Amino acid sequence: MISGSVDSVEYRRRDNYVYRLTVGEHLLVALHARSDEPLYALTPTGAQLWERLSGWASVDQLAESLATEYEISIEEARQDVRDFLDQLGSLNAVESREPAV
Amino acid sequence: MTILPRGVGFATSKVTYRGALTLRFGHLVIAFRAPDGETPFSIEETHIPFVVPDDTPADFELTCRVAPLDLPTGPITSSAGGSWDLRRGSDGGEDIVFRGGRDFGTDVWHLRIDPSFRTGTLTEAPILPDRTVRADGYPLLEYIVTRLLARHDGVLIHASTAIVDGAAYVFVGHSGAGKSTMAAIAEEAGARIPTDDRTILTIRSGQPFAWGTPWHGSLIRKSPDGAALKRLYLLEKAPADRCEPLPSSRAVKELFVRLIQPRLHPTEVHDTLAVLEGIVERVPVAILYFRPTSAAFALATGREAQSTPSL
Repeated sequence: MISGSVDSVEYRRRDNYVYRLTVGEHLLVALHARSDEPLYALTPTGAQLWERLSGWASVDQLAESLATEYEISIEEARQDVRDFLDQLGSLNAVESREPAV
Repeated sequence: MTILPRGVGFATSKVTYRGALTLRFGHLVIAFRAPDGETPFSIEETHIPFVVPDDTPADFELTCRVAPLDLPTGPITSSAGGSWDLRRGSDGGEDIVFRGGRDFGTDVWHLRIDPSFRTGTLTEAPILPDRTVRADGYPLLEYIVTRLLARHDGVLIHASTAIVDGAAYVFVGHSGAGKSTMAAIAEEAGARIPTDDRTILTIRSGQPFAWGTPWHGSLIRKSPDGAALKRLYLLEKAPADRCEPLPSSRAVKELFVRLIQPRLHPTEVHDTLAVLEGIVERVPVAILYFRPTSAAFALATGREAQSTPSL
């Protein structure tokens, strides 16, 4: 589980998943996995966050981009980001680090 | 007609080819070559229809020998439950060691795929007295074919195929879904059955095709025949026959999870999905809820049902 209380932590997607927009569906395909769930469908918002996670980004940075794009409050955006990162964390699809001082 | 249980079939025997062997699966041509020109390659007779002349231009050429394995070292990139380990080098080349025997305790093959994915080397450990390279060994050949199909406009899927009037109807499903059953019904209705278990789907110049494979099911149908792809059905046993068309977005996902593609490289995943996208844009995909009668095949093909009794 990824902590939702420490917003200074930065996140980045791992390279064990492949994202592709396929006939209107945002698909996330697991590499190297022998699980029964080889692929997942992302919402357009999730796909946008996935693209943003190609580099290190904090919850606040991710939330700001969502709030701007979808005209929602920053608090609502933060919660959406935390929920999404939790889901990615359960798939081992994201890594985290403390920001450099 | 007799439907045999899985694994119970006609006895097969091995055939050997001295110094060179070339196999074709769909569009994909794989050349096995011995540098000494003498080392024999063996295949089960089920694979003979897939042998093509050695001067056929190959997509992938393997230089092969029988020798003690020089096992690779370094971190494992991916593995499959002990049956094989893959190590990917910084140059993009790959070393795969396949194991067999009790609990996969014996190293059998070392496959080296060069970064170009056009050439490689294959070494078989001198385990067997006849010192042949078993070109169709399991899971070696299926692994090679699935990896290369992903880079050559193709996929391998759990499906049987029936060819009627030059058009291929493909019936997709995991084990127990009814692939061989539907193949048997189709054959009785006059269809040719290039495979009752694993189908190669390709798309080239915008034309989707379906092809047979040597990997058969309980009906034991295996030929390299191919035909233009007409319809794809996901099989679902039901009390009554009906078709439920699938939207393209769902069709891609349903087909993807029924592939035998190992998902080992991002490029292959993208190319695999591109193949499926091209297919579902051109070929209708539906769920075929069916009872095992000729009426279900008639529904799938739009032909009149014959008066054959239920199996």
